[in-house]
Amino acid sequence: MQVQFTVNGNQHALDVQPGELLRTALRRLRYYSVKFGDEHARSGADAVLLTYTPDQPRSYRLVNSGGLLAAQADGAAIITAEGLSGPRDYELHPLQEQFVVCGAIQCGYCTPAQLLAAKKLLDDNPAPSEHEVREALAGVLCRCTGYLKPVEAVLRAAAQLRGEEVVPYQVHIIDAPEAGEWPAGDSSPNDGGGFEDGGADTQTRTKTIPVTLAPPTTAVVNKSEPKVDALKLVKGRAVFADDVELPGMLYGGLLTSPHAHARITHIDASKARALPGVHAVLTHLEVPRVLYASGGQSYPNPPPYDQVSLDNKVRHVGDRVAVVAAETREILQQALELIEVEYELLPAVFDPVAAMQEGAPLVHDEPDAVDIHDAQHNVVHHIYVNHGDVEAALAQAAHVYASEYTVHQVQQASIEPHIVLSWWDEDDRLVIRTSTQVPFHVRRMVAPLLGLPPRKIRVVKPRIGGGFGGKQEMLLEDLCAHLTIATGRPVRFEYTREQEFTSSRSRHPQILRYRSGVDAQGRLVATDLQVIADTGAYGTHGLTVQFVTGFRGLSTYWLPNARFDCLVAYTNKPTPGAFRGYGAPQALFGLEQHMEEFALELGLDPVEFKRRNWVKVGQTLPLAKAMGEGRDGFSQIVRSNGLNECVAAGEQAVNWARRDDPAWKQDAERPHIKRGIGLAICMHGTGIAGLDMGAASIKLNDDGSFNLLIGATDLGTGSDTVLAQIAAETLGVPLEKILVYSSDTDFTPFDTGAYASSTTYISGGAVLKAAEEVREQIAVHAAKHFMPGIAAERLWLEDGLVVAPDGRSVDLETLALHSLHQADQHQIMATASHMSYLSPPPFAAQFAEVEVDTQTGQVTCRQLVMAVDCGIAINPVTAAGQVEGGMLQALGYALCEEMVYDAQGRLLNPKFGDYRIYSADETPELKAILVQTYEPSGPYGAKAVAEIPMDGVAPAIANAIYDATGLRLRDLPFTPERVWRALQAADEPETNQQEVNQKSHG
Amino acid sequence: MALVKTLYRPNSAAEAAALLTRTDEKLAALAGGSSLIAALEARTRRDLDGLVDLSRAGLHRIEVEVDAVRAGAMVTLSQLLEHDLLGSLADGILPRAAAGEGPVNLRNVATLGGVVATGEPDSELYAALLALDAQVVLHDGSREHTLRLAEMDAVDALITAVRIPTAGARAGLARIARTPADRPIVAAVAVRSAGGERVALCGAAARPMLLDAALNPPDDFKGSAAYRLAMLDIVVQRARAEMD
Repeated sequence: MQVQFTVNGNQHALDVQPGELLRTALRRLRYYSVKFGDEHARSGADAVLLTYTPDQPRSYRLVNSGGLLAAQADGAAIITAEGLSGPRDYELHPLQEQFVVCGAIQCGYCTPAQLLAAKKLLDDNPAPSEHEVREALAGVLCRCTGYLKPVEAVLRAAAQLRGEEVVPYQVHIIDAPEAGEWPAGDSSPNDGGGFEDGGADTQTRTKTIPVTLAPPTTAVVNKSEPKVDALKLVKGRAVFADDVELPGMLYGGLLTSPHAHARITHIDASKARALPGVHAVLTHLEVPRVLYASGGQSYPNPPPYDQVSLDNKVRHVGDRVAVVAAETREILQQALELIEVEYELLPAVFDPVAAMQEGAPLVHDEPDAVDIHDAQHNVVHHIYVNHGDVEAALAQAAHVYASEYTVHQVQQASIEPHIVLSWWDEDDRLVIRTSTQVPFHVRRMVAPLLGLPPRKIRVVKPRIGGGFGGKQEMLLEDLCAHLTIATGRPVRFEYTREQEFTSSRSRHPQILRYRSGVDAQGRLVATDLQVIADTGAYGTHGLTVQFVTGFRGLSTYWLPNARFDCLVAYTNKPTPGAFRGYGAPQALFGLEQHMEEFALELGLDPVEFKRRNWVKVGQTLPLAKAMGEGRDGFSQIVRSNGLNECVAAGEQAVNWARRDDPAWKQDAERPHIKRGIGLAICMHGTGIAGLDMGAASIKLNDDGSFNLLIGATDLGTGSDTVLAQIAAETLGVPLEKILVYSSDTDFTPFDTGAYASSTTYISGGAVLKAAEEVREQIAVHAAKHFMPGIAAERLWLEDGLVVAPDGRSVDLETLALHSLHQADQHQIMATASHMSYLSPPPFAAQFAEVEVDTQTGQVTCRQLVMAVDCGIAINPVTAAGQVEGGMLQALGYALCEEMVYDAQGRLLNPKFGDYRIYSADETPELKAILVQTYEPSGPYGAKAVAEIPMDGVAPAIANAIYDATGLRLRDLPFTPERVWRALQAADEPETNQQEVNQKSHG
Repeated sequence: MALVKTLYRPNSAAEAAALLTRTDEKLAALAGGSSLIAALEARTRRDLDGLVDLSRAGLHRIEVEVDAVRAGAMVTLSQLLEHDLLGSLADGILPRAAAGEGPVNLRNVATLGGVVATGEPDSELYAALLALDAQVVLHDGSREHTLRLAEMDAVDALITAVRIPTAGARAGLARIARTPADRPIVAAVAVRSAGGERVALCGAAARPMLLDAALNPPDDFKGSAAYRLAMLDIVVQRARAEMD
């Protein structure tokens, strides 16, 4: 049928099928700002403004275009983000301008819809309250920002539109009183310095200049520069994986298992293949059996190798069965349904403890799997790390305390699902355009599965719509590429939202048992940590995530004796993997309660107890050497720690003293409402020591600008911006002179990828080195041709000039033209790599304020405050945005997010709404405080900030619930019924006791 | 691509109602489509041959009568809560309840008729309509008839309008949910008028129901039946207390 509508004033008439959604119709018309988030139209990423009466401008309404048929829009007028302003960069709507200024854009995938929601609000209401802004944005889910910065942006845009003056945007920064060296210098692992020569092309040696900090004297670094990619994102340009058109492209899709555990006894794809428009159906019969581990990690990938592209056995509901490539989405869907599969059902196991019992169903009984610790008992790994003599220390301890915790399975839920496009290029090389955090790992890992050498493969990472670890996997690239190889055609392969939940990755559930001892002075003498972890059907990341659990659980507090004993079990559940925090949220949920409980048992103030025991500057991390994420690590000494300042700043911001005010703790009007505040101490890592490597190339252009080519993978965090700031600072130019490109295995040097909180520190170290080398080349050329008689070492770069101490200078454009065209012609360019034997820990104090409804068990978080020591914040606004967004994800972990299964292992809530992620109108007050220390080994003093905001919210909430009610909750998440049952159980002995007392009195 | 073979676009309620009585095709009414399109797109519904789009059937009007407001089935939740009388009726209970249906981009599409037709167990708006003693106007293809919402257990004809009595004076709402803006696990809506008091419940049975009907609470991952049973008294008490 034909429908007509206008979009941004353009008239369109197009043929649609009755079932075509408005979203796909708009994308067909190349309005790529309209995004896919889910089939149920609950993400709001596809929201547009729509009216049937365009003559009344106020009649536009925000609607989700994925929840409407294109036919329903017949006769409508539609506005998309492309229509908010003109096509040029400088043409910006005030909302777009403020989104850029406030750092309201992280991945940018939901930004177009947020802008339209805000535009509608401001069209109706020029002076909205914060509450009204939050209501207006509530239907557009954002997984990155925590909504604070988008809300601030809308309020500021409203003020701007009203003609009011808008003050510069501020972030709360505190400088911890420390001296440092500026910038960082090189050193060897033996003397403990951070900068290790990462390759033959690294020749720079940096001079270190002692400085006192606060404020740092920098021009670009430590400044809240707008993100380098903000304009294209705020304008809704076609930047994501799916925003391209390839001639002859086919649609690829996956048939998943309906059973938790079964053998495929027969598979008949003849009907699917016979369907016109179907170009390929691949099953385990067609695809070579090559074992691999899907986690996107450094070579050699940690064991086990327990996956193949398509297997003759399925191990969880949602496991891979077959793939199809077809002309259209509809034919694809039909073909998937026409594949006939006969299954021999096998008994399944869903509990990791049961899985390790004798006689449990064997998840991996295939003979060819490699490096499973004990496949006969579903034990993938047994990790045992011992430092000192824990038993002796506990036997001699003045007091010993033991407690047990359980943590559950949650999903990364990036709004952009996993999506891959692959095609053969004109040189017969396979191009894979993919939403990945690890393009270089993907190329190396996918090659053997396809039977191609890596040189025949090029992996391109466009903008990514969030990842949070979920895209630290080689998850769909093999399937998409197999289909391109089978058909010779470009193929687009995307997960459905349900598959994101059932067939992607998630966070490992664990059972954690802590046992600690103190001496008579309340100093920890030992901690014993036993963990049982559930890695689901496959072992990817199962080893390294649990290593991090052990390291985090046993390093935050300094321990002379420590032991980690961990069993990682297979079950028939969807597979956990990397998820921001990576084992730390699990460890800290237990640890930060365990330490508080222990202090209370000893009659000590928990904060004082923690302060007495947390690691201090100059102390070693004894377990670092033994626990290097699956291989030997390197010893670590803490060189910066702002925890004291973090706790003090956070206590003040959250008004900690209210804990002692009975009038505040008990609501006067509602006797069932009790209030409390909790604290958790956090410590994370910064990259994987001795393993993570990033490289960068910098090249001088004719006009004095620079190309910065990096393998580092910005998944929305702002790392492109941070790395460009490091380059700009070092080269003495404003940020706009740095043109960043990331990442493409053909055009950018290697980088391990965006994970382990490594990019600022590791890739930033490479950028610093490359920039220093370019600076040196510039100085040499300048000294030789423009400032004869002066030594190159005495020149410096500032404000786009090469400057000599005697006042002479030459601008970079003149120098660039000269070096390229006039004399001594050569390309000023350098490539450098960086790897570090150090992983300096960022620290944080996480506070949470809650209200507990003691009648219903409903817990409402009112406020989250995190004061974080991330070293020097290269970009304070993006760092604060990381903290806010991370805290909100972590709040979901604590209160409402949970993957729930039925008895057959089917996920009960694989959609937004049922799987609840926070929306803008229900988000508590979020406060991010950056407590800056100077980390001597980091570029410009930086440490990491990406993951630590994920770590402390759940235990802070647990401690707050305890403060409010006296109830200790050791099982996540704190949903109303779970809390209510705990309250009931706590009441029961008391009630019985009262009854007994009454009886004895009677 | 949603599973829709045919899309009918009737120009009157009578025509739409007649289409829905056809036996050669299994058709369903398409109101806003906020849940139906999603179900057809996600393939959780495969039983339909086609849809009857009600957008041209003249069901958008809100008419103020002597003791009630008659709101057409295609009135969106946003239009409902922006209406002067409906928006302020009984302490503004309709906007409050409608907020629980979902955020503004869903309320801009979801319709009053759709809420009544789907009767989701956690629909606070449905519960509010029950507590206000709303009536449903149905068209069976030949004529219209009116039924109390409380007496409607299955929708077997086209819903053309909902009559909302304006007698309600005070109202209260209490809910328990995982997060403040989540759909409720249980909820109660109480309305007091000169004629007495009505309390309706969410999360107590397969559809929202009045307090005196038989309890059969859902048992799912948001809350067990036992938990919901234990909570119903509390939300009823709190909803009532709001009116005092």
